[in-house]
Amino acid sequence: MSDARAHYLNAGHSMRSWLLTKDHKRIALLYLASVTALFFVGGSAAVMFRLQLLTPHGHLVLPETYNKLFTLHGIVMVFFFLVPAVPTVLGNFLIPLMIGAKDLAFPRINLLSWYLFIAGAALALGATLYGGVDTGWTFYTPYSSVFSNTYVVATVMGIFVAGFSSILTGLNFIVTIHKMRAPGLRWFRLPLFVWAIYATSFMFVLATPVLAMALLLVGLERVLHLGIFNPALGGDPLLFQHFFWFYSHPAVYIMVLPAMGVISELIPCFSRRRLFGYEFVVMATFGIAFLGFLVWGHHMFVSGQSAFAGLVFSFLSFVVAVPSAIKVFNWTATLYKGRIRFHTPMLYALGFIGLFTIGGLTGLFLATLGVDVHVHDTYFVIAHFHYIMVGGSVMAYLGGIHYWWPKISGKMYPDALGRWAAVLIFVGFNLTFFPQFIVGYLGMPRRFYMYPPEFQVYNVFSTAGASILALGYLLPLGYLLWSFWYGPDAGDNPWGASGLEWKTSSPPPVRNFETKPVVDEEPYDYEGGRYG
Amino acid sequence: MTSGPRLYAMVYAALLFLLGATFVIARVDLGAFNTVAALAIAWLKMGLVVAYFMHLRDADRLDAMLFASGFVMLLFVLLALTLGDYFGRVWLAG
Ligand SMILES: [Cu+2]
Repeated sequence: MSDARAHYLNAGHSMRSWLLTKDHKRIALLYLASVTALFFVGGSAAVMFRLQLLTPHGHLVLPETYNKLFTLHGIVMVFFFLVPAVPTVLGNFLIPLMIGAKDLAFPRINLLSWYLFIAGAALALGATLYGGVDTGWTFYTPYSSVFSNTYVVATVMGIFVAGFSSILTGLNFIVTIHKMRAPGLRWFRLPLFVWAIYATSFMFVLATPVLAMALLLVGLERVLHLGIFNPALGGDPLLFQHFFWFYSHPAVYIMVLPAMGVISELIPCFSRRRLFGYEFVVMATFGIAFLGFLVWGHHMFVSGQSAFAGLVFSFLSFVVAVPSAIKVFNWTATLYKGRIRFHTPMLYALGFIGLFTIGGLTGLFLATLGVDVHVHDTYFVIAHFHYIMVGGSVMAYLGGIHYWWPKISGKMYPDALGRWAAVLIFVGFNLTFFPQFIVGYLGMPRRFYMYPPEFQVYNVFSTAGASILALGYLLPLGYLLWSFWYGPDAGDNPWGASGLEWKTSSPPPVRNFETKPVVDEEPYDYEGGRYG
Repeated sequence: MTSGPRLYAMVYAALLFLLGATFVIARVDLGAFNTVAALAIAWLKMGLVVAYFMHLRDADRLDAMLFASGFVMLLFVLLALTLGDYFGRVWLAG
């Protein structure tokens, strides 16, 4: 029984000890429970509209309901799952452990962030229960600010409130990483996950206020009839798109950079090799974080933006592909001549590399002005960003959860079952979204309730894939929960991994380390003989 | 050097003075320079608030870096690229 030893999980069992905790590890678990629940809310909406799209003229739900379903799916998945998932769950749990600190710099603010997140989610989901929103997750004006008869204000206020959770979390991480590193842990000895979270935190702090402001203006225009985005009152609808995408393109990197950070931990561990080109991966992380702010106009090529701006944004979008490609090449080079072990986390990591590459390369199609004219607002776009967000971020998130689960829970899950689930998710994902590239290329527009019968075969594939994907996501939920109570003890370092988080016991004690750690090795020292 | 409440009072007075200046200049017709003047005064006010009330004057490198990156992002990137669209509509009309 590991419970003989005191650790953060058995340091109090009351509701109060969880809901008022200042321990970053417990707060990480609060986030884990919340984003998992929200993921299944967003997923259920997707299952419903995928069933609706099984037939060209289906009547499973009303057209209005269909609009609200895809809006709910987008809002919940983007703002309440993908953006927070890796930073708040894995970041919260791991950043102090990885840098050898007792906690984050501001533990109370960390708890406040979770409450803000929950308040935001409650507002947005409350609006859904009242009748929902039908604007799409993008809230384009003037539809959202003038014409829509749904609960826009409550929903945007929910996202507004949750935005402060992001900002405070980002600030907390930045200060922690600057001030609380263990002796010997120089900047260029930091694990790449820490670098990724550090860069992402800057994006949280810099981009989120612009979204908050833009959504607040939508609310003000709706309530007070100010002429900001409404052309009838002298406003400019495109201004909203500029503000919205100034946040929402960087948001893609907020979702992907932490995911890349996870992959940079998994690949060296399961290849037993030092990560190839560590410094280049760090530079590429900041390259992506900075360039990610300069490309938002590629969402506006056909919406009336000037041809000049289109040209500039198209060029910059090509440029941002370079640091992403650097990372893919470096991971691949790390695999070369490695002693690769195919445990569950590694399967997710390999899946990530392939799917992210497909998502990234099809992004270049869309960054090309002439091609985008034809495929904009089609399922080609849907397929592209799901390869990035689901094939990329969700795969990495699950890979990370499986990798650090023994540390988080102290228990091991059945690895064979885990591998089956990873394969199921990979197959289900491709079956869902690959046909959408084709049907989008053939001209099927996104967000439509009905479609011409010749597109049905692709939609049948998609819906079938979505069912497999749903099953794939339920499996880890089941066996991870099971292992939390009934799984065998994992030991402190089951993967033979480098990094400070593996040098403390599992689950870690309340103060993380029994003695203050000192770092005397370079990162990912898998070839130095220390890790077998 | 002055500090404490006295310093804050002085900065506050300066801000009120600049507020008055904004008001007065808006009433005088300077053509396009009305915008320039209004923005210049706004920058001054911002500088005072940031330096004294937000204590950036005696901040360490980290605070300065955060502030600088926010400044570059919001003013240069957001403004310049958005205005690039608006001006570009005239340059390459059609
Ligand atoms: Cu984008």
